[in-house]
Amino acid sequence: MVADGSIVERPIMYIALTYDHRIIDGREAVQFLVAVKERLEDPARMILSYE
Amino acid sequence: MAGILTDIRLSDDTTDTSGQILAVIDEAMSAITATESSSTRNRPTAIAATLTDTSSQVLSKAEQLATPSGGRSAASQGPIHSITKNGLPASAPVEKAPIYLRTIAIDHASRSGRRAPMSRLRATITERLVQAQATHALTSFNEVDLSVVNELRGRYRNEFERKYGAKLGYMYFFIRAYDAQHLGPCRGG
Repeated sequence: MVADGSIVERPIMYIALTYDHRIIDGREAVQFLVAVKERLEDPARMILSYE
Repeated sequence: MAGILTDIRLSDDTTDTSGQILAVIDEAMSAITATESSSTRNRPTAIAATLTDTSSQVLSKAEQLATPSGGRSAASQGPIHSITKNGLPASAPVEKAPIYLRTIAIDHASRSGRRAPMSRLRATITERLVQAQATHALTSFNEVDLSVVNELRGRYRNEFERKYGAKLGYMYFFIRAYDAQHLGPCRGG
């Protein structure tokens, strides 16, 4: 992946979220998944309440 | 497993399901066949003979179908007729019907299609696809850079294990990331 303009090696994990589209809109589901991703990539976010 | 194949329950073109009996092997008969090896030697030739028999039958049938007179029989024209009948819009003018009929007939003739039973893989894929449509399940994907998590796991590995008697695995971080209390309002995307 690219970080600070150079290609670096990183441990990458795929995460998948399956949901019932009759109840949950795609937008909210993706937002949830991105929120999880951001917390895992930067765990310090978890102690911050305003993010 | 040594023995004699006494009964084959499934023919080549059928689809088996899990737990179904495919064939019966008689283990007791292996001792008998060991003594009369001359008679078993005849068996493969017998099987080969039946194989060539069926293949020649298939060939003759194919030749029959390939001949122009035999190919366009009443049986093959039947489905064309019904397709055009159903495919025609109800409001279509009557005089346009023959043109419609002819084009479809030509399409059908140019295809050298063959009907084969679905493979297990394709059948399962289709089944799941229909199931997914019925349940309205959607899946979204993302990838996560775990370098910070790995760094933390390395840094606190010993301390965590000393305190809790368990290794500091990935699941700890996953659960914390999912935890609704810490999640707050979603701002992702």
